[in-house]
Amino acid sequence: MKNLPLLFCGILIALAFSFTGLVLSSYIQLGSLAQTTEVLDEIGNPVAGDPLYPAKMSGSAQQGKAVYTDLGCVYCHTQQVRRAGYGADIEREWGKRHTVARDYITQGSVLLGHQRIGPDLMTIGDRHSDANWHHLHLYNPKITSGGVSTMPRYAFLYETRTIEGSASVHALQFEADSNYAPAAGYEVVPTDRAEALVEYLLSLQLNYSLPEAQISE
Amino acid sequence: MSDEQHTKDNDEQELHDALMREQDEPSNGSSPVPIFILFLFAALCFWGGVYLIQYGGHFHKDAYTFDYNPYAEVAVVQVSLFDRGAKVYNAQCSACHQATGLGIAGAFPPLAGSEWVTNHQESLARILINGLNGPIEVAGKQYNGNMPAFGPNGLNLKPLEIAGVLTYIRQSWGNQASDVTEATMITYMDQYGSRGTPWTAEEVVVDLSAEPVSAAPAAEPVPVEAPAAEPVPADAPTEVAAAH
Amino acid sequence: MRTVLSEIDVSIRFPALFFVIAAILWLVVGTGLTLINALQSYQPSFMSGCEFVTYGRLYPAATNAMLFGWGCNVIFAIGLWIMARLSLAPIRSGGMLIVAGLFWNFGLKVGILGILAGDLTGAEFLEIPGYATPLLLISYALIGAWGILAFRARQGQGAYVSQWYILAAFFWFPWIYMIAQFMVVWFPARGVVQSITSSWFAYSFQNLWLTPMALATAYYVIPKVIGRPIHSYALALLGFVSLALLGSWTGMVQLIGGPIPVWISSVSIVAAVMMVVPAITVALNLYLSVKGERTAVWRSPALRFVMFGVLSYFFANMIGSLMAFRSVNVITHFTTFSLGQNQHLVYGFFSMVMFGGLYFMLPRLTNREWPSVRLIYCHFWGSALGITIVVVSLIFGGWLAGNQMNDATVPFLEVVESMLPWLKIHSMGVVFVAIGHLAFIINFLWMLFATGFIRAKQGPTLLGSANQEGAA
Repeated sequence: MKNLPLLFCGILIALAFSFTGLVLSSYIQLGSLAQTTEVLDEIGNPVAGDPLYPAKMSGSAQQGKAVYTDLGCVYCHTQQVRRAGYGADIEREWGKRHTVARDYITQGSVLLGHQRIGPDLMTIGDRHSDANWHHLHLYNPKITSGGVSTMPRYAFLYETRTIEGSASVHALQFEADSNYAPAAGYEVVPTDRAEALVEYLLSLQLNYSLPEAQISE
Repeated sequence: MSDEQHTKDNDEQELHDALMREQDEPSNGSSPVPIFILFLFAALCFWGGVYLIQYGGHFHKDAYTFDYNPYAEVAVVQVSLFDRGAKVYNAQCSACHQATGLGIAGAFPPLAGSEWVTNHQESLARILINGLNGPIEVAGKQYNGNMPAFGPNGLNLKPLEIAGVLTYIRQSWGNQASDVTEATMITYMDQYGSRGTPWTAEEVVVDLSAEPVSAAPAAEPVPVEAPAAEPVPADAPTEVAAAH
Repeated sequence: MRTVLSEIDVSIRFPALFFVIAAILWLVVGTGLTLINALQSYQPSFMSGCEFVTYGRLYPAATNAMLFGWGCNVIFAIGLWIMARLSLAPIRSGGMLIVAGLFWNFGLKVGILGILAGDLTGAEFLEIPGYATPLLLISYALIGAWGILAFRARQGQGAYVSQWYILAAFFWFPWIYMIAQFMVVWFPARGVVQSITSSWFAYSFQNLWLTPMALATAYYVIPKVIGRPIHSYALALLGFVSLALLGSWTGMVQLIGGPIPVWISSVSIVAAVMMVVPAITVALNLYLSVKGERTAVWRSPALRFVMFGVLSYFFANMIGSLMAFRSVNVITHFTTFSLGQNQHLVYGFFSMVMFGGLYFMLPRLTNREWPSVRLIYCHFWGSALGITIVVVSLIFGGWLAGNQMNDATVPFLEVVESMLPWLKIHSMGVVFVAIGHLAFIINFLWMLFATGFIRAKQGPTLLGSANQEGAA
C-alpha cells in the first residue's frame, strides 16, 4: 500500500461511519424521549392531568440501585422484556408487555444485562411484592429456591445478632422448621444496604402502558 | 561475511543466532482475489439491503415490531368529557375535596349535593378559572379558605380539561346537572382568563349571562367506568383519595 | 539489514520486555480470578462470605484483568516491536515507553481494585471506575504516539499489511475508548443510548483493537517463519478494508430483541453476517501462505500457536455470523452461548496468536532460546484443549438452556439445574488453560533468568525432532 493519505482517511472514516450510524443516530432518535402519559390525546400530546410514566424512583430505591450495581447483579440478571413471539418472556410472565426505550429514561445507569443466569428482573417488584421474600432470597437464595439456586449468598448484607428483649420488626421471618433460620435466640436483621436493595427490587414494576407499547389485557 | 570474520565473530554470531537464521522481512505475493469471494461479498450486500427493508421497521424510532406502520394512528383514545374529568379530578382536586366529593369538614367544602356545583355553569367556571377566596356557605355550612386558580393565571389547565372536570363533578355523587362543553369553557376562558385576582362568594354570582343550552344528562350519570359515582354512605367519610 | 534489525531489537528490548512481564503478571492474576469465578458459577457458596470476591465483582475483575492487563500489555509489546521492525526505525527514548507502561499498569491496578471494592460501572468492558480511566487514556496516548511515530519514521515508500493493521488499531482504540468513557461512564447518556454506546464499544474493542493486532502478528510471524511471501496482496487488502468497514457496526447484536427500535439491531445483524467476508478472506490468505509447509507449522512453536489462532478466528467469526440471525439469536441470547463465543474469539484467536508472537519475539529480544520443549508442549496442549473444552461446553450448554428458556412450561430453576454439568466441564477447561499458562510462565522465567546451560543453548527450540534446519 503506497497511498498513505488514503489509508489514513480510510481508517478515520471507517470509525466515523459506524459512530454516526449507530451511536449518533440513536442519540438523535432516542435522546429526546421524555416522560409521557399512558395514552396521547387527539393531537398527539400527553394528556394533561394524567400521571407521567415512567415514574422516577424514590430516593431509597436509587440507593438500592447503587447497591445492585456495586454487587454486580447485572452479570446474571437482565432488565428487559422481549416482545411477544420472540422468546418466552411474556409467557413466563416476566412482564405484561415488552420494554421500550422510554422505560429507561429515568434511570441514571441503564443495566440491561447480557446474561440470564438468573431470571429477568424488570418486573420482579410485581412478581414478588413481599419484602421478606426478597430478604430471605438475598440472605440465602437456596431458601426460596428449594436448594437449587446457583446465586451466591449475600449474607454479608445481613447481621445475625442476639435477640434483646423482643425480636426486631425488621428481622427476617423464616419458615417454622427452616434449616436456614439462625439458632434460637438469634435474629437476622438487614443492614441499610439490604433495605435499600430490597426497596429497589420492589420498585421494579412495569404496570403502566406507553403510547408505543400498550398493555393488552 | 568472510571466513576470517566468521571465526573471529563467533561470540557475536552466537548472540545473534536467532537473528541470523531469520528469514527476510515479510512481503506480499500477487495472487488475485478468488472470484468466489467477490461474488460472496456482492451477494451479501444484496441480501443486506433486502434484510434492512424487511426488518428495518422503516428506521422509525417507535418501531419495536416488524409490522410497525408509522402512518397508523398512535394509541389515541377519544375520552368522554366525564372520563377526562374523572382523571383531572383525581389528579388535581381529590386531595382537598376528596374522592368522595365530601370535602373535609371545616376545611374544604363538599361538592356532593352542593348548589354551587349544580347551579349556573358560569359561576362555577369563574371559580375554577380564577379561584375563590374568603367565606362561603356550602350545603348549610360555613367555609373560609383559598381555592387556587386553574386558569391561565394559575395552574393553567386547558379548557377541555376544566370542562371535563366540571362535567364530572356536576354528574357525580348524586349531582345531576348539564355537561359543560369545551366550547362553553373556551368562551369563559376568553372572558375571565386575564383576571388576576380570585373571586369572593358574593361577586362570583353577580352579572352572569344566560345559561348556555346543553342537554341535561340521563336520570343517573352513566359513565363507562364508574370510579366513585355511587353516592357514598355517610359513614365512610375518611377515605383518603389518591394523591395528585 | 540484519544489523538494522538487531539495532531495532536492542532499542526496544527493555520497553518490550517490560510490557511482556506486565502482561504475564496480569495473565497470572486474570487466570486465577477466572478460575475462582468458574468454580463460583456452579458452587455459589465458594468464597461467597466476603463481599470483595462475590461473583458479581470477580467476573468483571477477571475479564478486565485479562483484556486490559494481559491483552493490552501484550499488544503494546508485540505491536510496537513489529511496527518498529517493519518500519526499520529504532525506537527512541524507550524509557518514556516504560514510564507510560508503568502508568498504564498502575491505573489498571487501581481500576481492578476499584472493581473489587464495588465501584464498578456495570457496563461491559467499561467496568473500570471513572477515576482510573483518565490514567489509562493518558498513558495510552504516549504508547500509541510511539507506535505512530515509528511508522512515520519508516524507510521506504510502502507499508506492509501488519503496519496497516497496527496503525489503524492504534488510532481506533483511543477513539472508541474515549467516546465510551464520555457517554457511558463520565457523563452517562440518558436511557438506552448508554447501552447502545456500550455495546458499540464492546464489539469495536474486539473487532478493531484485538483482532487487527492479532492479525498483524499473524501476518508477520507466518512469512518470517516459513520464508515465503504472503499468498496475496489483494486478499490482504480486501480483508483489511472489509474488517475496517464492518467491524464496528456489529455491536448491536447484543441488543437484539431489546428495548431499542428494530432498525438498530437489524443493521448490526447485516454487518455481523457480512463479517464472513473478512473471516474467509484472511483465513484463506493465511492458509494458502502456509500450504505445503506442514512440517514447519507443526515444528515451530510460534507457528503452531498462530495457526491455531487463525483457525479459531475463522470458526469464531462463522459462529458469530450465524448467531446474528434472529431465528438463532432468540435461542442463544442471554445464554452462555454468547460467553463461549466471546471466549472463542478473545482467547482462542487473540490470545493464542499473541502467544505465538511471544514465542517468536522473545528469543530475539533476550538473545536466548526457549529452555524446555516439554513445557511448550504443555502450554500448547493445555491452552488448546482447555479453550476447546471451554468453548464447546459453554456453547452446547447455552444452546440447550436457551431452548429450555424459550419453553415457558419449563420452570426456570430446571434450566439452572440443567446448566450445572456444563459449568463443571467449563471449569475443567479453565483448569487446563491455567496449567498451560503455568508451563509458559515457568519456561519464560527460566529463559529470562537463564543459568549457564540455557545461555549456551544454540539453535531454535523446535517441537518434534530437533535436528533439522529451520527458522523458529
